[in-house]
Amino acid sequence: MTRWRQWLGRLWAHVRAGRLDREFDQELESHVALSTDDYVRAGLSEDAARRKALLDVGGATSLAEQHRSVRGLPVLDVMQQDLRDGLRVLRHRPAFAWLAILTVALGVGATTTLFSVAYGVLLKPLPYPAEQRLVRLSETRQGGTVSARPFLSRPTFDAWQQHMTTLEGLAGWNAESVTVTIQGGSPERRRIVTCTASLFAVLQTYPVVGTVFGTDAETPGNDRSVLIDYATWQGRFGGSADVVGRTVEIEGETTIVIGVMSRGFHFPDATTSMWKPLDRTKRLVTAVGRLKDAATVDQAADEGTARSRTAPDMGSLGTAIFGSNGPSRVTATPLRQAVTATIRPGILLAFTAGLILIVVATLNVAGVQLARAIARQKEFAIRAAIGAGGGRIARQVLVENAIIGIAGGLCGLVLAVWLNSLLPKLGPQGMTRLEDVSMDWHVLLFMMALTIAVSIVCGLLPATLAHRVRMLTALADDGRAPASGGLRTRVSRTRWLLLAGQAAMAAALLTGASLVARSFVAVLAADRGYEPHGILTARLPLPAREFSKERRVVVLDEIIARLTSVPGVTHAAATDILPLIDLEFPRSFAMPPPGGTNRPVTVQVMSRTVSRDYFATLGMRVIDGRGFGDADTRESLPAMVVNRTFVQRYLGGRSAVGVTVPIRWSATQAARVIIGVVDDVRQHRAADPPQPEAFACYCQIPEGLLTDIPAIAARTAADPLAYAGTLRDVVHDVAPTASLDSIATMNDRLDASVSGLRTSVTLFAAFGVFAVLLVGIGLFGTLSYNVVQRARELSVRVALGAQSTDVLRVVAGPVVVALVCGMAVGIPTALAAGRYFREFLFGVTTFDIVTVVAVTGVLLIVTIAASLLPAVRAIRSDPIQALRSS
Amino acid sequence: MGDDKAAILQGTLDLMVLKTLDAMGPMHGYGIARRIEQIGEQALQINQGTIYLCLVRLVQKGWITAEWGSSINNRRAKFYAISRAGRRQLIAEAQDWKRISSVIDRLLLQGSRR
Repeated sequence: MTRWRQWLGRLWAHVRAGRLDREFDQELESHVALSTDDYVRAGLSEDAARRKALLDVGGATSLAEQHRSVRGLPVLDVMQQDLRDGLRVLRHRPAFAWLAILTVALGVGATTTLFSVAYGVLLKPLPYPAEQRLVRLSETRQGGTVSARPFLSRPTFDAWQQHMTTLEGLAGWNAESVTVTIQGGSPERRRIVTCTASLFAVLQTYPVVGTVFGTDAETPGNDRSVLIDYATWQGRFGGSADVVGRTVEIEGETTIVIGVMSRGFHFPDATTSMWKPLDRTKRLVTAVGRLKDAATVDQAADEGTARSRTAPDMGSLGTAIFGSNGPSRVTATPLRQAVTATIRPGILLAFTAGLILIVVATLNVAGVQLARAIARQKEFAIRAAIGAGGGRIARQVLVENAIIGIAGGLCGLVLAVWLNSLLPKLGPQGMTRLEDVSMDWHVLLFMMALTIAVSIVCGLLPATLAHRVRMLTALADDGRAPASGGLRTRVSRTRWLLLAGQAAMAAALLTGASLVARSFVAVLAADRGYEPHGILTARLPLPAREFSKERRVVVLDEIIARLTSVPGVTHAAATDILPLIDLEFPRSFAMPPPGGTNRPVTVQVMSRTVSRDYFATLGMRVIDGRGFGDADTRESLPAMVVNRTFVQRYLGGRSAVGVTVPIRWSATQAARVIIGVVDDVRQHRAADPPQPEAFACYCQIPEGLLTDIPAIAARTAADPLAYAGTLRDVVHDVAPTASLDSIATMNDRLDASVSGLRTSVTLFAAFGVFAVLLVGIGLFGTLSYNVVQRARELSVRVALGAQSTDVLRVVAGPVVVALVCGMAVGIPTALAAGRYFREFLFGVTTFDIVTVVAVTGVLLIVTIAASLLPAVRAIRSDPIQALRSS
Repeated sequence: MGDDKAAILQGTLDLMVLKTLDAMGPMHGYGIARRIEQIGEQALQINQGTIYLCLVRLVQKGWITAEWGSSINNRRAKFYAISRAGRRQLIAEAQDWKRISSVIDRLLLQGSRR
């Protein structure tokens, strides 16, 4: 208690030091006056009395000093002194100080931003209680060769839900895109989730208003209830308390709002705003389970596999979905991991680049500081000579660096906050969990730790140097001797290493940038099997309530006919699955091997139902036979077109035209004849392996068009977007109640699909350029310093007959060697690391000669540019002048 | 010190100042110094200035309070007074002192073997 009081008193005294000093002076003065009075009274003369009084008190200055140290906090005084000195030193060299602060700021800002992304997306818990116990469950069948999305089949789901030993709860859901009308507003497309009633218990999250639905709502016709998100409640219902019981129209059906989820609730992500009961008859669900306390992920997977094998067989449907009827297998993945699986490599790569960048920045500032410390040897020696301890001088240097580090860190924080606000624009489109990225205390902590680490590393080398200052040599030396030139001293070797390190890091960043950029160009230029330029695409929902399967065919044919008659539209088509838009399911059937008597092969094929002119509209190449034409009608032989991979995988590469395939597109058609073969199309990513595909024309399917959300594509002569209005008008004329959805050019869709790669390219390029600039600055600084420090030595050399080339070799030699050594380490390391980010690479091998040449070239150019000025200065140095001046 | 006056034992100055203020009421620094010198009858060597270091400490510990006022002969001076906490501390320290000094007394009373 007393101790605390005293400490606070001292702190307070430190703050009011000036006032207390004056007060103490007054007090001493009054003491002397009182004492003098007494001596005068005792008979001394005024002068003698005062002298004696002063003598009694003791040395006033030392007393004031002692008084200050007893009264305040001496440590603080010293620190303040250091800080003042540090600031003064930095003020003397403002250009250096700002450059160092800027360097640290950019490094800290970029790395902190990337950390906030990495933390928010990969590490931050999902917004559900005990989220680490949530697992994503998916089912596959042995022998299934086509890639399918992570689903559980309904029989497996039911079998498991009835007997759960490793799970506390199991929930299924599907994401859907639907037309919603709220409070008589205009219809809007929204992403909603249909889910089992158990979802909320599994997530352990309940509505803030109202209740959840029960399992009875999962039967068709009983599912007219919906939970809405907080934003919809606030924005569309004014946050009113009686929202429960109000209705919204979903796909034209009146649905009752039964509850509102809490503000931070997202499931599965922030784009979903409504949750509706899942129709029990749906055969596939995305599944999420909650592990019991003692259960592990592997145990859940094992249990799931066992349950799925006891589930009733789905027969041919199972084969169709999973591509095989083999034994099923369930895998379990922690939910957070499953959610972020696709984005994790990109984030880790970016974060690695950020770390490399901050290392370059730190090495750079450390190198410059070391150079300055060498230049200040004499100052240090003088300080030491007049009584400063080695520790005191070293601390002084550390404080200077701490000022740079902290100022840089704070500027970096500002930069990071700014970059964070730009993330929605900078990051890839529709980035997972972007809403969870924020500048929270974890990020602040990281930034502080980073700043402290950078400050210490930057200050450590010069501080050690200051600590070991050799007074005599430093003072006797004229400060321009070649002592620190070349690689002769430990200090100059350290500087050499710092430069080589920077060069290595910069070379690595540039190599990464080059590899990713070349991949990006290759992805954009890759042959996708169709011509994406000049296509306008849109989705046209035709809900079953209004549009029967036959009616859809009539509507689409009419739209296509009208579109084709518009001047500038060369082709128009409709399809159920368009590249880059849809996820798809395979169709599976058994086919006798053509011409052979072997066992039948199980064919797994992605099927598309298209209109006649589809191939021409998309610009797909027919490589054998023909595409669909007017001759293909309901009356003619059911025809189909397959792709190159289908022919290679299932027909042994022989001529496919004329082969009859027992594929059931319609209940009444047992087989179709192949009339043509098209080239493979990359559905999503240029790097995806092609899948076997089969096309049928809906004009030949008796039932009509099965999908209720077909896509329309139109090939135009000019800018496709200019025809968006025309497309809307045509659709409005033909089907006034239908509304188009997500109109975009194929090029835009392609652009969006590569936005992740584009972000990587931008990031790497920016970091690479920054690192190279730093190397250039460091090089320039080192060389200039060398030239100045060794002016006398160079003069002597020139006087003795050294040529310009000799001078250059002496000045720039070791530095250029450092750079080359750096490159020799950095480039191969980055190339070797390439295999860890192979999924970002496309069309380049990890040993890419173009990259090696380009990176080497860039760094050499920077080297030449940075050494030009110092080199010229060195060559032009006038021996007489230099020798005379020193 | 090479002097026949005894240097003040570390820590005892606090006790002296507290007791002086307790006995005499509020006093200025010079007065306290003079008072201790008088009681010490010139046997104590006191550097008057050091009184002020002690006073700062005691104020920060909350055992005495300080206030500017006027002396009898109309000089401005800072007057110190003992606080309630200071009195408690004085009692405690006085007891400590008595105990230790009695121990030392007894030790010194032992006969010499020579």
